Amino acid sequence: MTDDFREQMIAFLPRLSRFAYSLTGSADQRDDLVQETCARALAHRDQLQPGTRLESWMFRIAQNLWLDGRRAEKYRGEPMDVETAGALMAQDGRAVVESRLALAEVIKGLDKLSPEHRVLISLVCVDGLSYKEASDVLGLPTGTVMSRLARARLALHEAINRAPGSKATSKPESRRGRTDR
Amino acid sequence: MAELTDETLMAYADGALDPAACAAVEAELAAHPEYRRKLDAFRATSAPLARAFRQGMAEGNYDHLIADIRQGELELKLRPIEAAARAPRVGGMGRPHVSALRRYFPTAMAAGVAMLIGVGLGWLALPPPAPTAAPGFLEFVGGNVLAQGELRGVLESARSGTSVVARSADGQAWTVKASFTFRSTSQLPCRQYVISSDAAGRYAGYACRSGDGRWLVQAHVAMAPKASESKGYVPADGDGNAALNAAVHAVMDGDVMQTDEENSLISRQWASDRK
Repeated sequence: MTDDFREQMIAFLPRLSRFAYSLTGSADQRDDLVQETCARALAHRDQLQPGTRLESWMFRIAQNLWLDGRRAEKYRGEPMDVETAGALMAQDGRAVVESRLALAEVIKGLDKLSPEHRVLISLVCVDGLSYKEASDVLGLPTGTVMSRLARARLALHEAINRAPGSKATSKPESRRGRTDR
Repeated sequence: MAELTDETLMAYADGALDPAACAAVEAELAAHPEYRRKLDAFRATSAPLARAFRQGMAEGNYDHLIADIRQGELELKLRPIEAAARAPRVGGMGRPHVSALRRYFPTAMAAGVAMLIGVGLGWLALPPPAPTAAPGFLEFVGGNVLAQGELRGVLESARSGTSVVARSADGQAWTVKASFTFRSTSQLPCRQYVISSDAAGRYAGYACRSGDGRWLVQAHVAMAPKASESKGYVPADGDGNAALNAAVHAVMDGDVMQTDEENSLISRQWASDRK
């Protein structure tokens, strides 16, 4: 017997996982957040309003858990894991190392943002939600989302490019050695 | 256009403007190249960012999570935790934060709450009859509770019923014993154990051996003192023993393992010949 709600949730896991990584910056905390978000959604599935998309609702649960956790210092303060040997060897070595370094810089930049800015960037820039969809997740007017998001992105760009020894991510990317799958 | 706002530039960079608005922005950009820097910043924080995550993030392995979602197990794990969070605490400051499921364990231990961690069981949090739960025998690693020290040694290589005396990290003398061995419904070898100390009380639990040689503790509960020692004291919310028995029965496949099969597994270091 399949349960649509559960299957939709499973299909959504890769996106939720990316969102959680963008918030927490570590694989360990990401997985905790993913698991807890799913548990909450399942335990409270009766609270999902008709007409609300499951993903919007789950993004909201995840960001609330993360914000609560930050307040309680639960999801903070652990170093990020920049490398996992298995994943590093999985593809062309150089390309993976480069993209991992790029991600490490992004995470460092995100660490400098306010939680609200980080959530917005994670929703729109990392996951690819539209401004309208992000405003549905956050329960904010689209105009507010846009002005906050613009500030957040300028702040992130500044943070990444101010970091000592960082390579600017605004540089045109080298295609060398990348194998797009 | 009087002025290009950040929002408009951003929407332009994101391709979210209609053609007329795009044309207006482009005219403005041509007249005022100083906007370029901001435009670049907006461009650098969209597609390249998403790409950094797609290519740079090691993917999580959610096989267990997916199985728990499908089988309706995940929400069961949350309920006792939410109930525990709602329960009043002495000296507490309002409603405590309900932490991540896996991160709940250390908090529970710190609070002296004995626990049952059930994969496929639902969870039970039992009230604390003693302030500590056998220091040095359990270890929290990556969200798992692992047997360590003498407890690990006993689970790995002692026959059921053989007691080993060990000292815990705080210098307390403990008797550590594997009670029996069984196979879980997922075909892992599991053993129930008892650790007891005159001063610090009795605990029992069961752990299952993973393929990589770790003993993952699935349940660990505080037990009522032995009848001979107690003056009729029973923990208010029931005996850990009953909860543990229920937990073990729920995951046990078949019966308790016979001595010769157990010996054979111990001598092969738990390498299964059933494939």
